[in-house]
Amino acid sequence: MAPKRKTRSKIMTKKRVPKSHISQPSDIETPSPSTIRQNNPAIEEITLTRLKSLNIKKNPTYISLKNLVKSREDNSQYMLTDDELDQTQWFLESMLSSIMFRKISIQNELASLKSIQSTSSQGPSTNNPCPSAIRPKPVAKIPLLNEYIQNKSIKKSRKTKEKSEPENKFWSTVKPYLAHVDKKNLLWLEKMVLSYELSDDIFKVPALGEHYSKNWTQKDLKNQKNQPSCSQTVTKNKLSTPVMPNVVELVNKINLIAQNNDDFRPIYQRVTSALLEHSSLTFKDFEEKLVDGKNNEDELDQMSNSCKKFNEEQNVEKQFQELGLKDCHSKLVPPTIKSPPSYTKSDEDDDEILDEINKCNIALAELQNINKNHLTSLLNRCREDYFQQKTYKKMKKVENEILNYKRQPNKLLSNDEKIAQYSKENYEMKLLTDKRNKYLTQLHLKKVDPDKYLSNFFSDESELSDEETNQFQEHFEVPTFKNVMDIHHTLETDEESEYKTE
Amino acid sequence: MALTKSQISAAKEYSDEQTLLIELFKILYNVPTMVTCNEAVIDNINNTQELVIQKGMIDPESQKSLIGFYEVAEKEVKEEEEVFRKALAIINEVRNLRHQKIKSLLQSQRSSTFLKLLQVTAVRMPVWYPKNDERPPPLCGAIEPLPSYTAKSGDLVAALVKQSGEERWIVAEAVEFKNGKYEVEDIDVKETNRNFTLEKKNVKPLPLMRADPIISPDAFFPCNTFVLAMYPQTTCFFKALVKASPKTSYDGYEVLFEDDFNQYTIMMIVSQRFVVSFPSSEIIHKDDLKIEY
Repeated sequence: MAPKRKTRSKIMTKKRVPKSHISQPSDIETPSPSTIRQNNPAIEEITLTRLKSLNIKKNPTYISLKNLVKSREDNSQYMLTDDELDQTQWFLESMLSSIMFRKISIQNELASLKSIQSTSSQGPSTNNPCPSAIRPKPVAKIPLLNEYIQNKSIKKSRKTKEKSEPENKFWSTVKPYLAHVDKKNLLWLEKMVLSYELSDDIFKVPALGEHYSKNWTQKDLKNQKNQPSCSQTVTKNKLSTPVMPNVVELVNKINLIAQNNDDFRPIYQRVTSALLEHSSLTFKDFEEKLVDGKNNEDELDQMSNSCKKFNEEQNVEKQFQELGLKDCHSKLVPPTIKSPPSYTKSDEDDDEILDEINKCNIALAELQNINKNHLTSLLNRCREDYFQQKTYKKMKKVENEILNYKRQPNKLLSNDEKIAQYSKENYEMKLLTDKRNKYLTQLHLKKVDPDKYLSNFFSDESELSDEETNQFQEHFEVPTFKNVMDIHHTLETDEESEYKTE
Repeated sequence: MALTKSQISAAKEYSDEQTLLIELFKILYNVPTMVTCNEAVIDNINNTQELVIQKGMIDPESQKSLIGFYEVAEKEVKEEEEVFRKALAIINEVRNLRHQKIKSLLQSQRSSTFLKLLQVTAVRMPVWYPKNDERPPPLCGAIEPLPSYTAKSGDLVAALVKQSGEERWIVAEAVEFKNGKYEVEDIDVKETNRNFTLEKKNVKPLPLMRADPIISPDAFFPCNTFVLAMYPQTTCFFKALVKASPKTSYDGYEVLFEDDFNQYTIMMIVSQRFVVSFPSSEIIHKDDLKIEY
């Protein structure tokens, strides 16, 4: 027996189909006749429904029923309990339902075919040279009338019905996380990775300012004179020495901001913001002076935000230098992860804070490196996904082309023309299938060189060209013929199952 | 020894049932043979269809052969239909015979057993199938009876009666229709006042056939309509809102019952048998009340 296919094919005819009032089950998605008439005013369609047999011999209810009846008959006991009678009734009802549906489809199709016959006997229409062209189209499922399948369909419909607000809410929340990677995401990730490479300045520790170097040496000398033997108290005294009121104010502000701020901002930023706040008054004075001196309001209005920031930074630097916290001629000391900044023995003894800062810097740099690695691997994966999406889209496009090619109506041609057309069609089809195979192979390959293709992603907004895809393909693992055939096979089976479920 | 009348009738009933069951057994035995014969024609049709689809054209030959096959299939499917109808009719007859026998016993059952049996009878009610292209008849699913229709003696009806000082719709059995009025009997044996004489408008015959949603989808109350539905585990009807029609002939309606405070209960399932249309006058009455508030 031929396998049952749950599809329908439509035959385009000129005649109308007698319409029964008995409806089809809701799961049948047949286009409404009115729509078809609008699209093709001269043509109407009938459906060729694949008829479904009862398949009674394999029906478990019938098997059990038959056994029961047989056993009773053997004992000459023609008896059925109420429950058995219920079972028999429901089984017969389900069978009768499917019979009724089959009867209706048979009657409809018979009427349509007869109407075609009567039309053709009247002679070919001048308006339509190819009256009975078939357009195979998987449209609907065979009605589900078997009890088991019915229950299944009910469950399905209930499931769809139960799609309530919370579910929609849930999916709206989850959807962004499940979405495919797009160009924006890739750009953002790339920026993130690049930001790590540019942020080495953060770890640069400025050299000691005049304030500390002078004051501390003076204090050291005094202490050495007073207590030359005790070296440990020197360090302690060094930290406990009275500092300038400006410095105290600064430090207090930093602490205050650190306490009030809930954000986990880097310490560097906190310090800078505190310093900026501190310098605001001085900056205002500076502005006032500038305004009084030059009396040019237009120039001040034109000053951009970036200039202001720059001036502020300059001002802060100046303040540091005036206070002696920073050395104006000193160079910044950039630390490295592998080799921490080299200091002399005496420096290490003298500057505990610098040592601590450097330790923190090294730890931060390590962490930064880990983050960077994570981000890079994520970026690579995203690129893979992006490439696969592109290839998949292309493959779908080719598949559509193939399908459309197959759907093109046959024209009435002579034999020679037909042969020529067939060979041409075959050649074009071969090209299309080859293209599809190529994309398919690409889809099943994963490795990509991130550095080489970094620019390719962002340089062009349009889809990847064939050359790009080929380049990409070269960097992939080369598949064996067997792999490709396997992929083909799986795809074909998938398509077949999809076709069936449709 | 001579047999009494009741014994004779019982024996006759038994032999009737036996005869019916023997016939049913025969049908069930012959079903596979008949179905297999028809499957051959179905296969032929399907194969020809496939060929036509492959060709992309329907030529006169395949058209002719298809018509031939379809004609044979139509004839056979009608035969099949007759056989299955006959089998179902036999089952229905057997049920009627048994129902007559156990009618008195049913009412003496405990109320829970009785209510359960009442539910079961709802599913045992026959399904209506059209013979040609006709519409569902009255009292099939939600199809209203004709105005001239009167319930036969022994039929179940929904009746608006006054019990314990309040008016309510109950499940009752029609006893007689006389002088434009129904005489009904409450099916609940516990009630003291069980017999009522009611006007026709206060009696609603319950459906006598189930409808199949695939074959006759028009024979159902649409969603969001008010109906009178029997509250589960009771024999009383209350106003309810249909939320979903049955998906198969075995299913019931999904309804929300309305309480005295115009609030709705949780979703409940009531079989086709115990859902009737809501009296239109009452809807107007209720709406008026709502407007006044």
